[in-house]
Amino acid sequence: MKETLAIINRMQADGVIGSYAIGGAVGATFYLEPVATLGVDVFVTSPGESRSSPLSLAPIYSYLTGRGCKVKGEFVVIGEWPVQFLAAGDELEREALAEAVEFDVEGVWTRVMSAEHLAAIALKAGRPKDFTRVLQFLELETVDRDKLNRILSKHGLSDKWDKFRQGYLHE
Amino acid sequence: MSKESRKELARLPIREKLKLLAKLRDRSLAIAASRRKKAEAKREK
Repeated sequence: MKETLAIINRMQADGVIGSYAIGGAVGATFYLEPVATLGVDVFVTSPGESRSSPLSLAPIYSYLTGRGCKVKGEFVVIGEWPVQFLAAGDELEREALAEAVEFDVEGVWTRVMSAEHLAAIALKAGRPKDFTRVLQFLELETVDRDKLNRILSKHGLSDKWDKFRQGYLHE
Repeated sequence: MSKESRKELARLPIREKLKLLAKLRDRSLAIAASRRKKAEAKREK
């Protein structure tokens, strides 16, 4: 993972991507117990992007394949890890990037979405595995409920949250 | 797995958690590859 993160950091320093943050199952592992995953989800913005410019993966793939990385389906294998680059497409994901937390992984700094943003994004995605992740965050008390409530309210997810609480938490 | 065991796992240093995650990844990739092979074999029949 150290090598993977170092290459992503270099890619950012070289201006191939703007900001980035790890999300998904690998992001959640920074707060929870490890869960099965195929690869690392890295949410990115284009360098100096405007809201109207969609993320182009071509420069990312070109940069990485030029350094010996292989493309496998939707992943690029960097070091030992398949990595999927995803555009931070909506306001919630952009906020998650802006407020990402820095972690030191064996001497390499990286940015990971906050537990509250990961939980909010999982709630929004709404697949069974996402709801399981929200439950994990709540059960292990790794989210600040006030902060989570603020994020959910700001991004129009309060109704979804109420339904989730009724269905899964019986609150 | 009990809640306490999961809490203990969650408290492990990130280096240890990432090692476990790598094992889970390898298992998931092996399962995905096996499913792909089966699907390809079915298509070829």
